[in-house]
Amino acid sequence: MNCQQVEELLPLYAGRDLDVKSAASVEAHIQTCAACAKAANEYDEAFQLTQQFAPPVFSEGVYAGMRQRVLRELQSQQRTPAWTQTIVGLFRPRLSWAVASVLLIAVSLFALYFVMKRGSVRKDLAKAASSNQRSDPQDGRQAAPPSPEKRREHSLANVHQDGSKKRRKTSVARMNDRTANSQNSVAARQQVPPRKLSEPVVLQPFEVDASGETMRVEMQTKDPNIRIIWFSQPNVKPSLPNSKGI
Amino acid sequence: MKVGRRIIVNVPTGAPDMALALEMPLLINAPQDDRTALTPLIDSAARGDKTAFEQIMVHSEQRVMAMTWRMLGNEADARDAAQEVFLRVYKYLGRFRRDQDFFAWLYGITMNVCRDFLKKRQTDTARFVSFGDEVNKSAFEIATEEADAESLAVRSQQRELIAKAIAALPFKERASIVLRDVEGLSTEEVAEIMKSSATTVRSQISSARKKIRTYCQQHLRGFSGGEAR
Repeated sequence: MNCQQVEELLPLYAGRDLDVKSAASVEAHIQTCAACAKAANEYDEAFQLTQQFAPPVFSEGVYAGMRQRVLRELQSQQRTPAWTQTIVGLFRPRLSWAVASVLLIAVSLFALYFVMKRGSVRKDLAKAASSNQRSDPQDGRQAAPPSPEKRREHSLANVHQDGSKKRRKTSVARMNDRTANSQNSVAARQQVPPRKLSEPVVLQPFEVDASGETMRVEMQTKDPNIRIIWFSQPNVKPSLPNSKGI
Repeated sequence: MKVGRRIIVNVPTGAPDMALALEMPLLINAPQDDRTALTPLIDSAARGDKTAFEQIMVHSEQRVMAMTWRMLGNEADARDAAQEVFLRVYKYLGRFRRDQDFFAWLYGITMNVCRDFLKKRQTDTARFVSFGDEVNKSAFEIATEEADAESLAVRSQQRELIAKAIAALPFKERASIVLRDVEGLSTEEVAEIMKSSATTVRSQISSARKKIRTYCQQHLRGFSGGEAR
């Protein structure tokens, strides 16, 4: 071992912190090297002085005062209700708790936002569907208000007529025009799964007002994407309610 | 303070009203009986018994005050820190595992409190107050077994020098050297308290001892067996 290596190990040697082999090597070296022996003595003295590093003698009054203050503080903490302590504890500077709280709040806000947005989209769809009942962009006509004496409970559709005067019949199944108001139908398609061709469609019964003019009849199936429209001559009664299939 | 060293304290009235034999045996190295004596107190205090907790304070306050004084350098800070240590002890007593050594756990809390104090002060070194001021404040006259006044002065000066040298160390080195050289804990015990590895602790101790030796060389004339400046 050379002097440089021994110099590095002397602080640990002085405090008996070296393993047996290293301590023996250092011991052997300082026996032969005066400079390292002097350094070892200095380290030993500093170590002994450190061991005697004693605080001043504090009086019993200091200790008694400290105990009283601690007990007083504990009593005042006890008087505070537990829930306030919990809330105060949440705001103590603890990074992990702060981060967890922020994340939780952020996730809750996102979830709330998405739920509300979904609700508003559904409302928009319903509004669009009801506005389609009143207007037909294809032939540019406005739907006539329904006749109050012929209105039934589950009325869903209008009967459109060519000509000036319109009379709406109640309890007529309504079909949405696929080409009219493409946005709503796209939204509706997204909301409602497509009907299988094998599934039968039940058409609601309806009445026809034969006023001598060509009539435009619309029927809405259960699938909001499918609406049946046809034009019929007067005095021609459409299919009876029991007919099925499209 | 060496284990078993006896100090006679004379009160200002002149009459030796009390003779204090101050012994601070390390409970970590103490017989099992002393440690187990605290166990029922700890159990009671964990359930909220303030009287039992006060007893725990009586058992450990000197140790805690000595540690906080060594780490912070003056009585005012040491007292405040010791108070905070006991408040945290009461708060976390429920988390104390019975297989742990209580005083090692207590030292861990003490070190954390001292670190927080120094962070608040935005410094790493202790604010050392001269030994002379502290002793005069308490108005006690301490006579050691060595009655020679000159030796007493030399020892007092050396103690102050070491106190300043340790106060100038960075926090982790100071903590390691106090726990290892002053309290006499093993490197592994120090590593457990400091939440560090034994290798790191050894490195910190080595660095601290080098700095203390350098400080003594610079400030103590005739260091290495010579006279004080």
